[in-house]
Amino acid sequence: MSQTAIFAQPIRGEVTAEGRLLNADSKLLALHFAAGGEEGGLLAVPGLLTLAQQCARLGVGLSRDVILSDGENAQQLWAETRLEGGVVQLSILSMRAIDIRESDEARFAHIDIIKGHFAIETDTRGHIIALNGDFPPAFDFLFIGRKLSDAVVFTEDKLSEWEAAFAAERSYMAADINLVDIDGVYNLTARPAFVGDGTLSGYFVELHPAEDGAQAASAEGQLRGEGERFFGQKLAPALRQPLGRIIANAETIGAKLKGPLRDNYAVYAKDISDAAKHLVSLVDDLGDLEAVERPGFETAKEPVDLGDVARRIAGLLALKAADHQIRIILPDEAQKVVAIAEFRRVLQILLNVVNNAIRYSPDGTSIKIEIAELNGTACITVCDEGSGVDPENREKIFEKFERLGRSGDGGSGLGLYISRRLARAMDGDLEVSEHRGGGACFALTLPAASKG
Amino acid sequence: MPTNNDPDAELLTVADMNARDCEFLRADLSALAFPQSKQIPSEEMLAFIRRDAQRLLSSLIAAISKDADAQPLSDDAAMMRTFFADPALLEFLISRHAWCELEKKLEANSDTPLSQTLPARLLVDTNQHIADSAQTILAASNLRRRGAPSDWTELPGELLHRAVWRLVALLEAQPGGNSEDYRKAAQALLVGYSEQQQPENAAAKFLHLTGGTYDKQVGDLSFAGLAIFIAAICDRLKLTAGHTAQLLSAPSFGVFAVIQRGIDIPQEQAIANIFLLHGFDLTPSDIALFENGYSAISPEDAAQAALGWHIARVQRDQGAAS
Repeated sequence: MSQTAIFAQPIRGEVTAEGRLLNADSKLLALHFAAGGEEGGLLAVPGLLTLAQQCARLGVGLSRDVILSDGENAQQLWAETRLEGGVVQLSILSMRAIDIRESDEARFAHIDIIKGHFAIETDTRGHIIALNGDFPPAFDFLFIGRKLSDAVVFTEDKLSEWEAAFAAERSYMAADINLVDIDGVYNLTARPAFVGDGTLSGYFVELHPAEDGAQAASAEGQLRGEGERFFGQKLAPALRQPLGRIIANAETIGAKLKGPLRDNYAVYAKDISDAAKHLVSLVDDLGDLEAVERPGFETAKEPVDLGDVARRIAGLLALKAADHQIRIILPDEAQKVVAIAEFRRVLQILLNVVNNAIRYSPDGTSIKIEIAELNGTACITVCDEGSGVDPENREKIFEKFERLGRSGDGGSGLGLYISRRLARAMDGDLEVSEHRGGGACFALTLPAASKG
Repeated sequence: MPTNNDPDAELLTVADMNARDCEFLRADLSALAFPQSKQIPSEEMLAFIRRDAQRLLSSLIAAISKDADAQPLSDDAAMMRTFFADPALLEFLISRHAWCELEKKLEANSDTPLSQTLPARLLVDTNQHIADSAQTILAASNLRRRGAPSDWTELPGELLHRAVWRLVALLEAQPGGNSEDYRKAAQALLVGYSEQQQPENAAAKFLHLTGGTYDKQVGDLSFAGLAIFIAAICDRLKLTAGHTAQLLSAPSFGVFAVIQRGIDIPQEQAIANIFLLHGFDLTPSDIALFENGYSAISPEDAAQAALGWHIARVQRDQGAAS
C-alpha cells in the first residue's frame, strides 16, 4: 500500500445541488478539466460528483473515499462535503496513488455507441455516474447517482445474479432486459473495471437491442436449471420484485420523503403499501404451500425441547405482544418435554399459532403455552382469551384459503393449513378446541422422544 | 477447492456455519417470524436493542420537537414505525449491540488499555484530521465499553436522513404539531451533522490517512483497537463495518479465524486476537481445529469465503428491499 499524501491545505470547491461546479481552487479545476469538464458545467470527476449530489440530496455532511482513474493512473482520495445555503462545499484532504492493473478498454470513449444502443458507467457502489447513448431527456437527472437497478428493470432472479456478480467483481450478461422509460428489449453486458491493487473502480454496462443476437440469452440460459419448483423458485421471485417496488414507492410517498402531501393521500399510500405487503405474504405462503404439497416432502427428526421452543417464541414475539399489552404465560422452566421432530418446523408452526393468538385476542389478555407428555405423545398447547372458534369451524380453519369471513387483517388463509401439513409430516397433528372459559386452544402433538 | 477431509475444509465449514447463523440472526430479528438461526436473539440482546432504539429516538424527537412538554408521540410508537419498520435502521441497532459486546470483551481480556492503543497514540498527531479521527474513535470505544446509549451522530448519513424524515412524517401526523417547525428543526439537525463524527467512518478515514505506515500493526487487535481492526478488514475484504462486527461477535471463533486468514494475519497473531474475543469460550477441540485449519486455508480461499458471506447478505438485503 503506498503512502498517503495529506494536503496541508485541502483542495476545495463549491458545487450546486445538481452537481455544477460553481468555483474551485486550481487543483480541483485541473482535475475537472482533465476529466473533460467545462466551466460552469457538471463536475466531471465522477466519484466527486456522486458525493456532492448525495450530500445535497440527503442534506448531511459526508466523508468518504473516492477512487479516480483516467485510464492510465488512479488515485484514492478522501473527500468531505457539507451543505451551506444549498451549495455543497467540497474538500479533498488527501490522495494516494494506486497502480492500474489492467487498461480500461471498456471506457466509454472506446465503446462504439450506435443508434439504439446504450452504455452506463457505475461507481464502486454500483451507482450510475455517467450515461452514453440516446437516452430520453432528463434521464440523467433522474438516474445519475442512483443504483443501476433503478434504471434497468431486472427481475428478482436477474437482480440477484447482478448483485452477486457485482459483489464478486465479475462480468455479467443477461437477456430480455428493459430500461425504465425506454421502449424495447435489450441484452445487457456489464464488465468490471479495476485499479492497480485490485480495487474495483466501477462497472461499464452496455445494452444492445435484443434482436442483435442471442448470445446473452444463451449465456443466461446456462444459469437456469430445469426441474425447479415453479412457484417457489420461479414465479415467487418474479412477483416479489414488482410488489417490492410498489411497497417501497408507496412507503416513500406515505412517509412524505418526496415532499409534503395531503393527509388523505398519505393514507391512500399506506393502503397501497398494506395491500402489497399482504400480497407478498401470500406469495411467501404459496411458496411454502408448494413445498409441503410436493410429493416426498420430508422433515428432519431431531430431539426438540418443547419448553425451549415456547420460550424462544415468547422472546421473538415479545414486542408484538407488548404492543397489545398481551402477556404470554410460559411453562415452568423445570418442566421438560422432548419431542422427535424438526426444530425449525416446530418453531414455524408455533410462531404461526401464537401470532394468530396475538392478532385475534383482545388487548390486555393472556396467552398461555403449556407442555405435556402422555402415552408417548408430546404436546404443546397455546390457549388464548379471544372469541374462540365455533365447533363447526374447527376443521374448516385448517383448509386452504379459509378465512372464516375475515379480511383485511394481513392473513392469507394458508398459515394453519401449512402448519397442519407440517405437523402431520412430522407424524403429529395440529388441532383446535375450546379453552376453559372461552378462547381457542391449539394443540400440537408430536411423537415423544421417550417413546424411543 | 478443499475436500471434505481437509482440516481447512472443516474450519471453513465451521466459519460458514457461523456466518450463516449471523445472517439468520439478523433475519430473525427483522422478521420476528420463521427464524432460521440456531442463535435466537437473547433477552439481553432484545432489551439492548429496544433500549438503544428508545434512547436514540428520544434524542432525535427532542431535537426535532423542541417543545418537550408538547411532545405528542410516544417513544414506543415512534420506535415501531421507524427503527423496527426499517431493516437498515434495525441493522444499525444489531451492529451496535455487536460493537458494544466486542468492546466489552476486548476491555476485559486485553492487557493494553485504551490509552495505549494506536488511535490514542495518534491523538497528538500533527495532522489535525488524523488527531480528530483518533478522538472520535476513542470516544466511541469508551462509550461502547460502558454500554452508553446511542447518539444520533453515530448513524451513517443515509440512515440519519431516513430516520429523521420518518420521524418528521410521524410527528406531522399527530394533532397539534407544527409541521413547519418540525421540518425546519429536521433540516437544521441534518445540516449540523457530519459523517466525520460517525465512528466507523472516522476509522476508515484514519486508516486511509495513515495508509501504509501502520500496515503491520492494524492486525494486532489489542494495539489497533476494535474500530481500526474492523476498518482494516472492511478495506481488504470489502465487508461493511456493521456486518464485520456481527460476524466477529458470532458465538464461535470460526468465522473470526477465516476473516483473519483472509487479510493474511500471521497465525500467532490470529490466535492472540481470537483469545481476546473468545478466550474463555475456547475448548481444546476449538484450538486443535484452529491449529490444523488456519494455515491450511489460503488467504485467497478465506477472502473468497468472506466474499460469499457478503454476497449472501447483499442478496438478502436486496430480497428484503424488493
